[in-house]
Amino acid sequence: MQQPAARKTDYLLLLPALIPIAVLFVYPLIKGVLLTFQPTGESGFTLDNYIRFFTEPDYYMTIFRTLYLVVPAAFLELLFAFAITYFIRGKFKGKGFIAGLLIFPLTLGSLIIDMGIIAFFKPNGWFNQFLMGIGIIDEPLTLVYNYWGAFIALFILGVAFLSSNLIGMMDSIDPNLEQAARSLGASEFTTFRRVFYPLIRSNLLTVFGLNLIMQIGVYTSAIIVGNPASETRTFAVVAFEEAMRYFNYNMSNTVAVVMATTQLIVIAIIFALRKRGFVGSASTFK
Amino acid sequence: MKHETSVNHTPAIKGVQRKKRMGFGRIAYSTINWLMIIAFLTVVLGMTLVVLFSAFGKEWYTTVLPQGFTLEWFIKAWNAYEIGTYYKVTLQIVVSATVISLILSIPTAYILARREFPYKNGLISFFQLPFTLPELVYAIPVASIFYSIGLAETIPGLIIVNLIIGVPFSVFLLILFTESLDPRLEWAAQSLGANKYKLFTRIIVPQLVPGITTATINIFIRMFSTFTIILLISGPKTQTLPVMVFSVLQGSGTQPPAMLNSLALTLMLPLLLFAFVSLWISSYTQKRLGK
Repeated sequence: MQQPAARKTDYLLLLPALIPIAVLFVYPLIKGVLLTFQPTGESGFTLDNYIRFFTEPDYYMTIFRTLYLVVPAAFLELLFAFAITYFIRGKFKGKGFIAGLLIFPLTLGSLIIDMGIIAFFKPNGWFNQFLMGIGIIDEPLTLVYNYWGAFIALFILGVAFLSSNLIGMMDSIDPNLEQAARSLGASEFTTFRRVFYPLIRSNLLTVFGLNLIMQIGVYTSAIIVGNPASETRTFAVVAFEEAMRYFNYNMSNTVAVVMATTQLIVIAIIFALRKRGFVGSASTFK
Repeated sequence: MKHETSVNHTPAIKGVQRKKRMGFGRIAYSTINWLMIIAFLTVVLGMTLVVLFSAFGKEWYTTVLPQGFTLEWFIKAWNAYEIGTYYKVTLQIVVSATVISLILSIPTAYILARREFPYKNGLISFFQLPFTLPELVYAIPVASIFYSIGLAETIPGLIIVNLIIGVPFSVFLLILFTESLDPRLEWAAQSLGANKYKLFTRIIVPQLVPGITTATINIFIRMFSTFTIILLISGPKTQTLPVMVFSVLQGSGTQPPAMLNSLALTLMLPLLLFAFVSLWISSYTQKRLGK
């Protein structure tokens, strides 16, 4: 259907929504990048902020600390979520219930999950009581207020996010394709490797990338269940500290820009991998 | 075509599909998967229950279950953290921001859905940028700007900042709904002599009611749980509920866990309610848009 072309008055109707975005998003974004090239509280041009970031260990270590926390968690989440959602694909009784519970942590959000982790995984919490009860360990494990606390929080939210996407994706792949392969004599494993995996590969990489990007920005879990002074001192922790404690927006933004750059590099790597596979729809043709 | 259909209905194919070899490998595979599912779901349910028990439990140190149940902690937490006040502040901010976002985004969404002009698709993708990019990158400069012009730590400031969450998302949702409307009704109204204003108030907005409802609920929930940008510009008395909960948890060394879990619960209950409502809305929308 041909849509009518816009007249001059129509453009005016675009403004109510465009102005807030320009003022609250585009302008701050530009100003934010400019801030990183200015000395604190003054105008002028300097690379000092970046030089400080990459020479002082308190700053540059955040890159490794964030990646050391987030990358292993992201791969584990992917393996776990993929295995579960592959296992429960298709229709059966009770699937809605399982799927709903898998996604449930997303509804609660990071703050509540953090509280739950403290209460559940603390030294005298249910998790340690259970492990000691069945005799696997003698001493309770320390799983909160350190690396593992943040790791568990990331894992639970990551699995929920990946599952929420993967369940739909797997159900949209036409089951006839797999049946065809099996009827031609392919084994279960060959069907998975040669038919199912190539079809889901590009979407899988996309959600993996989205999840990784979100988790690189981890903040609340790193503060509440982690140890923000050392092990879980991520990009966001340092950026917030600079902004809220020292009101040094120049340095704070420098940290944010380095974080965004790390996220962009992650996207670039994932898109490079994605290009080599099949990109398109594998849903049912009716 | 005929050949294909006949293949699909051959009993032999169905036989292949139905046949399941119950070898050792398959049993091990299902067992491992079921164990993983059960372990994950147990942890998720356990975490939720433990927060509930702790909030309503009497004394709970090393036993499996608390000694008894009481509302005492919950009431104490409600008073000590002034949760009622923060609910009021949050609603005030989020409701105003929702209304303003809708008013600003309806005309824009209509033009983007109905008119043809150069770079239209580019503009539509541009509207999606604010909720796809990480918040932190623009939140810090927004905070520095708001502090320098004195809008930070004020209620109007918090309402304005919420527009960047609300406007792009409601434009995005309303475009989908406007595109599914039948344009012939608008042509008919125009041919019968309706002016622009009448066309909008009598024809377009009434048809858009389901879309506006969906957008309202979605952006309300989004704004309610917005965290990063609010944390950066909130003051001691001008905070939304999630930011207040976070600030208490951050310096929680000496507080009794029962109080903190009661606090978490006051945030959890509205979130659960929202999840319920949005689930109901999305099933309604799917029926309506026929997807």
